[in-house]
Amino acid sequence: MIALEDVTMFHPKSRKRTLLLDNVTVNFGAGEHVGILAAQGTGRSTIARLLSGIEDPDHGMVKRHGSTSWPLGFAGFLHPFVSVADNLKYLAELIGLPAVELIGFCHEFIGPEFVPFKKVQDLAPAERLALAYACSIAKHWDCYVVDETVSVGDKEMREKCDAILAQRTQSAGIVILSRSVPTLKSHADRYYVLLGQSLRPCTDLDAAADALTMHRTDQAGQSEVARFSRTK
Amino acid sequence: MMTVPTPSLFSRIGTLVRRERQTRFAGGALGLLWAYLTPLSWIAFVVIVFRLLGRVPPIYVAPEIFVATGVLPYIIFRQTITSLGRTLPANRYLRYIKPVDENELLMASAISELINAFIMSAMVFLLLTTVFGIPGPHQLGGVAFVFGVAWFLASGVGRLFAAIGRASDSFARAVPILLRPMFWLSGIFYTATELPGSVQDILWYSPTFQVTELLREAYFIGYTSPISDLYYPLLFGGICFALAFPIEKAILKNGLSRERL
Repeated sequence: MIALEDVTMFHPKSRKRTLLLDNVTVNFGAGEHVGILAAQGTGRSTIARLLSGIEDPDHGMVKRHGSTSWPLGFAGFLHPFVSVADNLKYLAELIGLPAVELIGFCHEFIGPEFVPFKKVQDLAPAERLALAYACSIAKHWDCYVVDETVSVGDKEMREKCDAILAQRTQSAGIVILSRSVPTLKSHADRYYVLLGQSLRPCTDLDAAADALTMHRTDQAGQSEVARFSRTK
Repeated sequence: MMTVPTPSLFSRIGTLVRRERQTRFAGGALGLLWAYLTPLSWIAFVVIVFRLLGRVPPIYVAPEIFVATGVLPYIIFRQTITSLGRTLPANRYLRYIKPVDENELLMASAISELINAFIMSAMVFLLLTTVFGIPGPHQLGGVAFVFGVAWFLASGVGRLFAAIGRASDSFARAVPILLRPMFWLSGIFYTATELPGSVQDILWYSPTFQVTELLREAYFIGYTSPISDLYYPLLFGGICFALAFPIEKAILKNGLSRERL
């Protein structure tokens, strides 16, 4: 369960206090599959980190019951100069999994392309993405947070990703932030739209997408007017 | 898949220390050896300069050990501060793995430097006693304790600098420049006994000079410093450490952090 109580959050950018969430109160229950429709550039990744517990809100409180994943597929913590096996060993110790099991899971998930003694910097981009995805889904979390990346790699790997995510979320929750309506529809059954620094519940995603487009067009129009007024 | 409880703080710090030691100098052929080669080359360089200038240590000891007792605490001070300054930007993505946080990363980095400090010092003293036949420390426990004091002082200052560095890239880049005068103020080339009283009074405020004097008192039999004060570097480090937290809180609260996750 993740509950946001009167949460206000600014974009974490020095001296530019762009508001992302304004006094938001929302509750994602245990085991719920929630989709958040969010346009590009609205702070989707920051909100994903907030839900994962990686960032704290500027005001308000985020309550969590149970474990929450980091955004699926994130690869930043894999050290490029260290072997895959050593990276996995450290990760296993930090998240509370036996190293042998984490390495075994990654091997099974990635298949013959899994090369434990290769340094991460020597992996092909697709291999690295697959490894990062396997790392993030290896542990049984109570809630999975997705920041646009639902699956990675080629068609076969994407199918594997979809299958494991579906299997994991049978007994766990998921909060998925995306700008894609079909992606949200295929993974969630309750929806919100991030509109005007607020998370608004919605039942019709297509209508929400239209509203989002209109809102952004309106905003763009307003800023054009403001720019025109300044230049005059 | 078997799930075990979230690892304890102690266990996480242990993992982060091992990771830090593996990755600190990763990418180069010599790896962690750089942590020990740097002080050795510094000592060699300063001894050569000492000999070229015809300088004689103010205490009746070999120049090699006189320089080593000055350079080692300074290097511990400098390397610990540098390491704490780089660990947050370098390892920021480890914060995705909750509950790892900034304090754990900094603590792991400081502990890693403490381990380096003891290995480096043992290597230097062993080399000097076996190769140059220089007598070992008069009080081994005292010497080890003073290295601990140097590390504590550096951890406090480094924690403060790391906190300020979260707001200012310029400050983080200026730290090596800020530390440069400490090389001359640490008593690497001189002792307090040969300084005039007025200079002694001023240098009393240099915490690294205090540490060097304490180390030489512990290492050299019969050497007593007119200025050494154990409490000063401890207090200095402790105050810096305590100051780091409200400063960091203010930086984060006002959105002044330059970090991007």
